[in-house]
Amino acid sequence: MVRKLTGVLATLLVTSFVIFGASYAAPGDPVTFLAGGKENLTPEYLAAVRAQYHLDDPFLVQFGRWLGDAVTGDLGRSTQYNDQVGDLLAARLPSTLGLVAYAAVLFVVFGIALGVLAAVRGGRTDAAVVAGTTFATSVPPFVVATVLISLFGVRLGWFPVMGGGSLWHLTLPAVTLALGALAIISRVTRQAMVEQRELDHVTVARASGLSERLIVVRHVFRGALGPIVTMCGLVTAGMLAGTVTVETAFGLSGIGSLLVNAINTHDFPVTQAVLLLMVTAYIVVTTLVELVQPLIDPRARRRT
Amino acid sequence: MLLSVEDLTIEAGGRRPILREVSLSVGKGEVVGLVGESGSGKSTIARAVLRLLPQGAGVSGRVLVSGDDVLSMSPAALRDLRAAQVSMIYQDPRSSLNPVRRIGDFLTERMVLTLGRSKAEARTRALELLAAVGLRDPERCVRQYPHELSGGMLQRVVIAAALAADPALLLADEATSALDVTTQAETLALLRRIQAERELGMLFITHDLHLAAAYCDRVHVLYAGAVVESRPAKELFADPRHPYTAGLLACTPELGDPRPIRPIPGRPPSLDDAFAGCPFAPRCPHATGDCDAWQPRPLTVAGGSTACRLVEA
Repeated sequence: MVRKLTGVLATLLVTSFVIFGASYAAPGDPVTFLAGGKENLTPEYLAAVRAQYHLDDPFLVQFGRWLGDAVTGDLGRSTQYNDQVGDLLAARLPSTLGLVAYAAVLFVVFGIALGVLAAVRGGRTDAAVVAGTTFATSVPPFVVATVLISLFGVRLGWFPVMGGGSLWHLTLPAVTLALGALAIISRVTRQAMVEQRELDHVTVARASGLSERLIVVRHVFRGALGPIVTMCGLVTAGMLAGTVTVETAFGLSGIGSLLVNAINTHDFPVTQAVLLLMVTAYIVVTTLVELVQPLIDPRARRRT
Repeated sequence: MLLSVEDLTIEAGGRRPILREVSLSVGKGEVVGLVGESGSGKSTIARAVLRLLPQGAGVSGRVLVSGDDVLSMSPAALRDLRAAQVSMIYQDPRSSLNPVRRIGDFLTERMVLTLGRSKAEARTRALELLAAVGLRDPERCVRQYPHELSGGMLQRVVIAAALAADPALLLADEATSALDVTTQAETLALLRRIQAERELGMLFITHDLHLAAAYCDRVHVLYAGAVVESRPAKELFADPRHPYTAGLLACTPELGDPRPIRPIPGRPPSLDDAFAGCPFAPRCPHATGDCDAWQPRPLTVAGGSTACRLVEA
């Protein structure tokens, strides 16, 4: 447990260094953006700005200062909005988290259901599931978003097309996001179940007179749970960093659009904070998956 | 008859059938041995008794358990047969148990889900069974996972589970082959005791003819999917009439017996070897040219039958 925690902290430290280094190395002098309009570009003013943001300090000193602040919860002030970065994140985070959670529920439920269906039925059902999910995944999200908006938003008028705030608003964006994950989840489910079905103990269960339904639920699916949970976790974690397109398409003000905006305007404190948040979220989700594994497979429990 | 297999033929795409017109029977309280090299079809017979057939197999003949034909019964009757009448014990106990479920689950699953007993009742019975197969701490055992037990302990668990439903017939498919020698002896003694106590019919499958001869009442020797000799164990051991049986007995070294080990020449036939006459003829030291054209059929010898034309000559 302690080792796991140390590992997480080390990963965070390294990634924060990379993130900070990347924005330090980004082309363009931040001063020109910080200074504002052209009339401000006097040497004295630039020097003042440099001093205010400590831009003349060595790289490591800057990194250390930023890291120290970040640990105490102070992520700095946005150069564009002139707001505390923490406040900006707090305002944007709920809609992104809601979107990802909603999408995760959708792809977990439908992805697993389709995978089980494909594994149990086989034959044409299997082929249809593979073809359907592959098609759904290969259509880019912005196209899916446009189609969903024009069909369910405009023509049928069932769902709002812009903005967030309710489950109702999040449905179309969540569907768009979930469609991309459907193929991978359904196929991992199908594959894991097919592998489990071949194992001897499943035949033993069948030979003990258990009905086919109980065999699938208690032995085949139960055994396949490990890879399925891992994959669901990884996909969810990846989704946290991939909501930009969907947020833009549906006019949601979430973390993704905040990040793109910040990058475009060289708003380094915001960029760094959002990236760090995404990395943290990824680590948290994958660590959770790792902690859940021993509950699924007792062989993974090692008492030392 | 408890189990009666009549002219069972199973084909699954090879150049010869997996089983060819196999007939055998097991009575109440009787231990019947089934001996053969790997690939001879012995496991297929046991699995056919539970109608666990290879995919897309062509099957003819009958498998009767207490008079009901397993191969043609309804799915519900088949589940009842598997749950309550016939139990199988497998070669590798470690792969017979679901690794993510507790021993207790494995034992009570069949009782609760197919026989409709209450959970408490099933648990009490599971503890009784574990004690009956000689596991020292049943209370602890039901809470353990398969990877926490040794192979010998697991085979005891598998035997306990096989007894859960008070079956009339046990199918032991190489039940001791994957165990250490000492564990093997314990497991054999345990099986024998349980079989005698409960008057079970048992089909004992092994590749070890000596073991079968010592352990069983009657023995069927299987070669290339067909029974080549079936006789009472003692007679078969003392005076094998089929050259294959004699060859199997000559394969094993014996202490204090200076005779050389004589392996059977050639290799066991695969499913792609088809035979016009006697399948053993290519490896048989006594074969004559006529053997290649002779269709094997059981010929009566003392106490049983053998499928070798040389006994007539």
